[in-house]
Amino acid sequence: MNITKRTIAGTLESCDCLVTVYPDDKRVIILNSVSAVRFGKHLNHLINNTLDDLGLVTGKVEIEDKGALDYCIVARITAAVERGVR
Amino acid sequence: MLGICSLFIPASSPRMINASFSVEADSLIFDLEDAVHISEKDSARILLRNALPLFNGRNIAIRINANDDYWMEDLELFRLGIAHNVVVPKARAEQIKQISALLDDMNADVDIEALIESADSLEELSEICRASKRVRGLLMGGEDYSLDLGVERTRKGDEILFARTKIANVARAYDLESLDTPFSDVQDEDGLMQDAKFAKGIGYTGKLSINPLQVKGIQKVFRPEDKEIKWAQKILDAAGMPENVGLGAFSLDGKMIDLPVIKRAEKTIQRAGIERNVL
Repeated sequence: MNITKRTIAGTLESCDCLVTVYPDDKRVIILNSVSAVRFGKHLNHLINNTLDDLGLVTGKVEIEDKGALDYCIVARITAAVERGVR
Repeated sequence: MLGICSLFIPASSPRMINASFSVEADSLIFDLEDAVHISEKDSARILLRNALPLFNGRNIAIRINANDDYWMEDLELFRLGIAHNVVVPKARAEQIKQISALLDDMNADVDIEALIESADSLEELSEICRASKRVRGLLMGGEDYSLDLGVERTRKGDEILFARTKIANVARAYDLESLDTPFSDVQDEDGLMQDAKFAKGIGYTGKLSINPLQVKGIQKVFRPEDKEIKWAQKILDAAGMPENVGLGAFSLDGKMIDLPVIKRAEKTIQRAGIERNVL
């Protein structure tokens, strides 16, 4: 699965995250999180696992996290990727 | 069944979803319809699919979309087996039949709560109640109903009085729960209490809510008071005594107790959520 167009999902409100995906020739993850200091390792693991589960091979995934819980991050990535591969 | 107070939560808002973890409403209604912009239906559905497992064991409902293009996809969420009530907006009998048939195909343990929001829905209330054995409740949606009538929505609510009383009456006739329309001014606590008392007084079993701050007040109005519960238990205890069984009426503390009084006592115990073998 490859990202074919730029799309977004989520918001910049607290407890949410804004996920933007773009076409790219490899899989790239950019994470900006208010929780990065404490939970950066966990978040990177979560994001990679989610993209693996979705079968994403190429595309840039940029996440602006405003303190989202895991379920929300997974959901927003899923929505952005599903929109980006349509 | 939704219980006494059911709280709407926008299914597109993680902040509101997170806030609802600790709210002690009798049920939560995750809203995929009016609270979600048309461009965000897919994202809200995905968000809810991921959030629902965190609510396992709670009494959960989902308000699906009225539009055919969306509600079939919304129903897929019931395959998770976590939400056991579907709130059908702008309910019509034919649509209830279709939804019920799809739930049958999914072998889903899901009750249907019909939200009455138009003059057409009100005209076919009995057909809606008979449309499926899954129908467990009628909900009043005052905002859309007054919009459909083309009248202004007021604090007192004279414009929805006919619909309100009819819904409560029909729900009673079909032995369904009935939840009154939400009170939209979250800051007006006195108004909420008056509105809830009025709804209880015309026969509603509970009330919908749009803010966690309204929950306790609604529950206070609709839940029986301790003295009511004690009196009801005393009546049921007395009705079960050998000397009273088979009598059309008997006396208790100087008051005549007959079948309507006993039935009322049974209802009080049910509303209090007390398990008891009723007569």
